[in-house]
Amino acid sequence: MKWTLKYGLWAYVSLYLIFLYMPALLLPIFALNDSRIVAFPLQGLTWRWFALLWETEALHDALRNSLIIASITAFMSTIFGLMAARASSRYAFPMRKGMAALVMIPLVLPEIIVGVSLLVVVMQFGFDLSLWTIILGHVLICTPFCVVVMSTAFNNFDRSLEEAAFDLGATRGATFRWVSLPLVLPGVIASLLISFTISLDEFIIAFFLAGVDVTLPVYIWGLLRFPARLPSVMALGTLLLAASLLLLISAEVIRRYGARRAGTSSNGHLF
Amino acid sequence: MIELNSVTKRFGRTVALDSVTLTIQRGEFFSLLGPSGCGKSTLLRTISGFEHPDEGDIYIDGQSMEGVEANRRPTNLVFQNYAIFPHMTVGQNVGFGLRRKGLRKGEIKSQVNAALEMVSLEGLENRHAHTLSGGQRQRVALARALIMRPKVLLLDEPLSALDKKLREQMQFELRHLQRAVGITFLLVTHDQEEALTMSDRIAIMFNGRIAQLASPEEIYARPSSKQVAEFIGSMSFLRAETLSQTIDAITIRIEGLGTATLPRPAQLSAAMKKNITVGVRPELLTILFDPSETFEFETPGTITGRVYYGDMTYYEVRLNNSSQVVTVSMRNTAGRSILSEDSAVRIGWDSSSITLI
Repeated sequence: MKWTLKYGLWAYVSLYLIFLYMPALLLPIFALNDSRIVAFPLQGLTWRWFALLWETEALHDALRNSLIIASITAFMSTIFGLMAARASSRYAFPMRKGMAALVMIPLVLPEIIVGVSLLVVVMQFGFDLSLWTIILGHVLICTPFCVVVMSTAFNNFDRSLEEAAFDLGATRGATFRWVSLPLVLPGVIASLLISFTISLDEFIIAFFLAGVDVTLPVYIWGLLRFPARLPSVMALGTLLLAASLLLLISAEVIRRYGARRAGTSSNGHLF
Repeated sequence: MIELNSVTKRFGRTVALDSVTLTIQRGEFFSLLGPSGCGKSTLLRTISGFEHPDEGDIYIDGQSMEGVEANRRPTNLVFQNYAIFPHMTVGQNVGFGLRRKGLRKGEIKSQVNAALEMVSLEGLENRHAHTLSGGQRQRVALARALIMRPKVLLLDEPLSALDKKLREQMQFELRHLQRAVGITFLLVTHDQEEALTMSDRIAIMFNGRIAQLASPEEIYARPSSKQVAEFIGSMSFLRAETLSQTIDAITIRIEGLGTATLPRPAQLSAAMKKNITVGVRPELLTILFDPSETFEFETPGTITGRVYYGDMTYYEVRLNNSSQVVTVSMRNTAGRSILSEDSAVRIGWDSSSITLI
């Protein structure tokens, strides 16, 4: 009985992990496969799909748009997250918990609803669809993540540190600049990286709110209609996967470094 | 120097400070002593500017502190957990306040070195804050506050996080430091020993009010109420009866102990009630070990318990002909045996052993 339970659990865990990561592993395999058809058996090693990406102008525009959107989104939602987290961890005001909950709701709201409703609003106000309308949607869905990361950062350091700085004659601005900010800086960086990553591969909102300039995920979706382009989509996917992993790993490393430097345990992490 | 005029502070329905009026002298080592939740920390935070009184005024050096924020007040606070900035070195911590004032680098450096020397941490300015021990952190917090040359240094339970040995050593050092810098110290503590050993004057607080304000000797010898007497040191309370009283003397009969005539204490001007309670400090009673030893008054009793402290032994003695129990402390001098329970003893006392409350 014990024996079967032990190996049964191992089998379950293995299957689960295979199912979770196998599809992602297929990306680099087919990206390097020397065949227009994305199927086994593999035909041989080639870099030409990556080379094709290099030569596609429309792809470069989409990538540029995505990077612009992701950068501005990361910056804005981190600022919002910082402000919301500081307010809810440092001040007492009416409806504090209610507001904290309202800020978090976009986290569980279906993106298609966010996308459609924002489209309606943007149309009602008569704005043209542009990169800015996508940024609007992305800031909305990224801010809750930033609030979580920044709240952890603020709750991890003792309020009396800010009081001590203020007591020693620092203004509120100087207290923030020299004590609060350095101590939450790892959180700020983690928040920037996470929101950047979310924005970079977000599809639904970008699809609804895009004007003539599309983002990278929307461009990839467009490519899927041409089977001949599929291997280069695999190559692109491989690059995006690598970039996302790199960003998330660095976010976590920085967060842990910060927790250690602030002399607190590393609980309350996102990953 | 510091004047508080009927300062009241409420948190919702609880009254943390109930019309506190208090004057602290320049250069004084003043302690606020009380159990947790008595309002002493709130009083400290009100003086430092982190809390604002609902009623009443605070003056420091004749200047009203109303509307003056914590960063503009001539006070500095040593936090209970020290609040050392973890991302800075010792030197950056200590020099933080001067840097905000915009002093030149060389000036800051020399002042930081002087401040570190004052708290015996010379040479540690480049150490990172998180590598310091508890005692070192406390010294850094002291140096960081003292370097600002505040008119009042506020200390919030500064020794409570240290172990016993270090705490006793720091009591002496804090006292010496205060004498050396001449700055007014206002200490908040729940530890009566800390207050007694360091202070010039002590204010005992209960429920947001000052119960007694006096020198340590005065508070120990003449507690103003049973509550104060119970909080400071140990004291046995005995039922007694007033037999007669004149303007300067009171004759009482203490149940189980006997009759004595005591000088009337200054604070008791009104006539004494008939049924009263008197207090007896353990060290003011003595157990007569030698049969030839005599005392002004002697009372027989039986030992019901004992606690051995090494240098001292505390005996609980039930008085014969009474249900009342007193505690007697005896120094364990050479050749003196430790008495066992149920031993019959004679307790020696005189009129100075008895405290009228």
